[in-house]
Amino acid sequence: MTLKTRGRAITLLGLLLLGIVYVRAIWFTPVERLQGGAQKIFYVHVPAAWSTMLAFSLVGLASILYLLMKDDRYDRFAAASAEVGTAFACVMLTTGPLWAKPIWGTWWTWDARLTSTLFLFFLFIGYLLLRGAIPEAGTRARYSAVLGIFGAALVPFIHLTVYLFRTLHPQPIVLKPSAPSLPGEMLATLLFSFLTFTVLYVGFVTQRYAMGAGDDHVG
Amino acid sequence: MWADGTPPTGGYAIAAYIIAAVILLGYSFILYRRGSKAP
Repeated sequence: MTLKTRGRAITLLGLLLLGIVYVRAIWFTPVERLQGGAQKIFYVHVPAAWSTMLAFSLVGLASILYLLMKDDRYDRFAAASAEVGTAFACVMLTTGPLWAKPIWGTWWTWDARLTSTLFLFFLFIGYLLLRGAIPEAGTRARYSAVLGIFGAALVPFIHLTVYLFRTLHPQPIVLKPSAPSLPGEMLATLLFSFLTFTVLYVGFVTQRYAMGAGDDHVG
Repeated sequence: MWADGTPPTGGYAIAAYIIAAVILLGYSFILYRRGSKAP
């Protein structure tokens, strides 16, 4: 089985799991009394944020390894992870406002969490544009590795924004030192969705990585 | 508000689920097509 076929199989599995997440979240997970149905956006928004941050963190790690070892496979992985992370960021940045409108009364607010996340998204759009603008492979890999490391450095800062600043965004309810603050059924759905979005990340990155370094410009 | 006091905000969730599915299925399709073109 080639890497491309394996990536497609993992992606297909991820999409099937996503269907199960939807069914479970809509029909088999209780409705939160104060927020109503809008709370169910959480089962898509939070795992999408997880995959985004995972993707951009791994861009930084692969970029460091590329600069240390000059192995093109790290550059290819960083390029793949950045593109996939940007796709997940689109899910995160569109589902967030759809939750915010009924709960906060506004689609968007310029608080620290939202603003820094939007900047991270723009930074990785810039990363992808930079890769497309430099034809020479070695220069492209070196410049984008530096940008990728700076982008990944924002990830822990974004996670901590809800503690460092006065922000409207809810604090972490799972990725925190104490036990998750969710009823069991909701937690089970959320953890299953985390697994699903991680499988999708692996499937997407495997496919994108398999395309190789030479086709960064293929649209 | 519904009779039990729950706010009727499910439409936002449906919209979010549809948008997320469109993005993820769309990106899957793009990767499939690009992978099919690549050698």
